[in-house]
Amino acid sequence: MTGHELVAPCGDYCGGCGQYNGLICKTAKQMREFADLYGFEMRSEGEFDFQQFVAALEWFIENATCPGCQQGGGPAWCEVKKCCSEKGFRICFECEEFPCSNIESVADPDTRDRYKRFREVGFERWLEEQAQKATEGYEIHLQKVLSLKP
Amino acid sequence: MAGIKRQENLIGSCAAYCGECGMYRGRIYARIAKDFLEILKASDYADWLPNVMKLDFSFEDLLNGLEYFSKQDAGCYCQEPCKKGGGAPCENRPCAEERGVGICYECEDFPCEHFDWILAKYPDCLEDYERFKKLGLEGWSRFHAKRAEQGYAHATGKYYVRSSNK
Repeated sequence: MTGHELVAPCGDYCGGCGQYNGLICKTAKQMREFADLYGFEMRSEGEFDFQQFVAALEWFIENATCPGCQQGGGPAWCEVKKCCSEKGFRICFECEEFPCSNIESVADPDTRDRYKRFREVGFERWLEEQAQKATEGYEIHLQKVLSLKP
Repeated sequence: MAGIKRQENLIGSCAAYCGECGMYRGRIYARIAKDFLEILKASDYADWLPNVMKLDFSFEDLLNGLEYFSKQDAGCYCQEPCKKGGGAPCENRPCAEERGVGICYECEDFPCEHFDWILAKYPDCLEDYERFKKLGLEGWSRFHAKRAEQGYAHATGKYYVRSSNK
């Protein structure tokens, strides 16, 4: 197994990101499929703008995708990505300065846990674990599995 | 498998099986809305998306809509089966009660004009009626109860599978 291309410099696993793996698009699509089935436009009047709501769902269905951090995706302003590539690391967890202020600015609540695990078992095993979790539907930002399988 | 009595409580007068409805006690649609809301919030879309592009929709309405659909007292969360007061007002329920039939399929006038709106929306009802005639009330109820257990939602015609860790 390779899969290294799915590892973001900040230690996120793109394969477990709902924007990379299509989870967000699929959930938006599920939502869109029933949104106007029961006259909700009328029933929800005054609660929110239904047309705007549907337009937003359609935007997410079409656009909430990402090629992965290493393939030009991810936030353009990310300092971590820049720094990692300058230093020649694949991932911040390989850097002895971890955790620096760059990573602190983008870290998820569980970044340190992932770092710890990375140090314990090494890159390859860590990567296998990340991939396995993603296969089970674990979403990295949510830090859990959605209640319905998309 | 739910007992036959419970199954019968889940059958609306119009022969829709409440247990197969995506709104029934929030079994499907409200979950989808909640899932979507949670993943959007966890991914911080509201913070970064408007900064990287000009949106031609309102993010606030998206969030408000998802809140609405997630709620238990509005949106798409039906608290009780149709026969116990859930569901929208319709012509079928009072008519069935008046005629003393459990469900429209048992009525000799089926399908009458009260059923037009249902047929227009769900043409597969005629097929379901044939199933009812073939299997009888009990077998037919069991068929729907099984599909409901498998995560079927009648309105979209799809199956939704729950993740093992809720």
